[in-house]
Amino acid sequence: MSYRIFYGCLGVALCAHDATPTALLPGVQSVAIDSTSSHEFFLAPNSNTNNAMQPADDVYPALSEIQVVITQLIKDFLPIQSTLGANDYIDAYLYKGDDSLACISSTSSIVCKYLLLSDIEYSLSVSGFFTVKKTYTGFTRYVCSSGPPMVDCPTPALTGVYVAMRQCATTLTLNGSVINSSWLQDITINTTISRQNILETSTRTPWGSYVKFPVITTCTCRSIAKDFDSYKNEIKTSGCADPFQAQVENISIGVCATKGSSGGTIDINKAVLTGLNYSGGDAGSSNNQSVSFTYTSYYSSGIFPNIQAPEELINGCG
Amino acid sequence: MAQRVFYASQGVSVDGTVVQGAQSVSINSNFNLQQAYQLGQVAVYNNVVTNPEVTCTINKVLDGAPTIWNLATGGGSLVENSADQVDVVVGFGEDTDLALTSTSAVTMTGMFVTSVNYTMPVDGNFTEEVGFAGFGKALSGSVTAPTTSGNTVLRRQHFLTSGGTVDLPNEVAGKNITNITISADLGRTNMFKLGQFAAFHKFVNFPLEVKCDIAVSATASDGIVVDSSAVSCTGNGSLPAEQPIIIELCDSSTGNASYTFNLGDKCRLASAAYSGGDTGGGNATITYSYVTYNTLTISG
Repeated sequence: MSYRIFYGCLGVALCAHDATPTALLPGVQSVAIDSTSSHEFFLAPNSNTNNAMQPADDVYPALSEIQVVITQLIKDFLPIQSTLGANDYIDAYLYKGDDSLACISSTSSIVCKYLLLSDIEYSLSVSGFFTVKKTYTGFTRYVCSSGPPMVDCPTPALTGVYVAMRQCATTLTLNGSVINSSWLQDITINTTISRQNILETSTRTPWGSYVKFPVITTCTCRSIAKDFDSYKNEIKTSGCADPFQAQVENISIGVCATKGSSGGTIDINKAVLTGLNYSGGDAGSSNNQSVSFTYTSYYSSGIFPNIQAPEELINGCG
Repeated sequence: MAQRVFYASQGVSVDGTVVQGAQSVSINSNFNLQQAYQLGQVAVYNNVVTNPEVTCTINKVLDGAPTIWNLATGGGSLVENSADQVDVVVGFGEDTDLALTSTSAVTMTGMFVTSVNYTMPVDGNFTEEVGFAGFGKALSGSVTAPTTSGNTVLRRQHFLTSGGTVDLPNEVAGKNITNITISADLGRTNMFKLGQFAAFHKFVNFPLEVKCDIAVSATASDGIVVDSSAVSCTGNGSLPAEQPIIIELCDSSTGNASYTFNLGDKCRLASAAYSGGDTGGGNATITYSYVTYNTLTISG
């Protein structure tokens, strides 16, 4: 009998919709599942309470919003269109095992279905490990005590595993100001896909989902300053004759392949500098002046504008 | 083949120069680890070395030969030399030789000074201790034996109480000084950047506190008045004022200054501790602790 749930007896698996998960996701650091639902009810006079308006007996739940947030150590550094759940509905299984065993062997899980990727954030930092946080949003969740089994016990000595750290950021195509005028400390790449469900009559299950464009990608580079940057903001006196246009840049961030991963490159095309902040280096303190460059891109490739949802199975636990 | 390492079978050099009068050397190799775990298994996912570091501490007697600080930086102030890096080599030889002949050595490259400490006791030798930290250590190099020329180890009679540029604090003027300690911890922090595993620099955390503790054998009270009521808009009353501290040690052959420790002119008394003289029979002592920041120039 288990007395608690800790990281050793929790496991997360993702799979295509209604498929059977075969293995736990590697390198997961944390997982969170949030379920929110609103309800519709009708007021009616109730004779038991002197005809005061009270909710009727029937309460109808609206479509729930299920959010699954998974934080992982980076294994494969993939562009968003290649990430599971970006263009297809997927399912997520959160398994619970025995707290006295070294690994997961379980049929008990929380199952979240009809998930689509809504947010992804890569964090590359000089201190610590490279991580990725993925947020999936769906509308179906249930608990299975005897669902698809999961037995995932890697060999104790994981000699082939290597976690990506600062030396793995090998390909950095950035503005010269970022590379030459500072020591790069952190890069955060965030892409948010706003989706809207398309409902239809005669069923609660949405017909599908469409993307509310533009898909916005931000890339924030935080550095220790060693010189000044070369950006300028100036007001042109002859605005009509010579309109000032923002400098558009193509950014490329690459993480090298480590043992057990293929690495990869993320390209952020047609990005413009939207934030430039200097701070630090205060008198009497030992901290260094830091500079933060924030780039924003409204260009998205490979994101399908709409996706049709599959039919829902009656027995969700499979 | 050596069966042991003792003082005669090891030696240390800083920036290629053998340290004369070295008393001890210690070396620590730290592989700072960070563990990664994952959901689904208790065993560690990956045990990663995040920041290998080598630290070394050398202690020597002050004997007229260049200080370790001088060998590492060429002398001068802490601030001006805060970015200097040197190679420190510790050599090992046979335990049956009268003088060191290096058969093996470790070379620590790109070492930064992390701390300096000077002790001048009334009973014992005047000593210097310098700490280093860096990122590289190789099993190579060699160290020659130090010279056996007749340097004189400095002791209490080599402390100059007047003359030259000596400037002792007012509180200890005319008193029987029994111990002086000058110390500074540079408190270095590593600087990393994406795309490179090794740190590219260790910067000094300014402001840098420099402390000078002067112990005297008490003949009366400590002479310190604490009166906040006298502090006004235009004056600090009887509160301790900023004052210069310059300490000099004399050369045993010429009588001139061989070492000078200049803490600048903004030293202020931080505390005065009176103790002792109890029924155990010991004498009372007073320790005056002075503090300044970012200023310490070491010559010699």
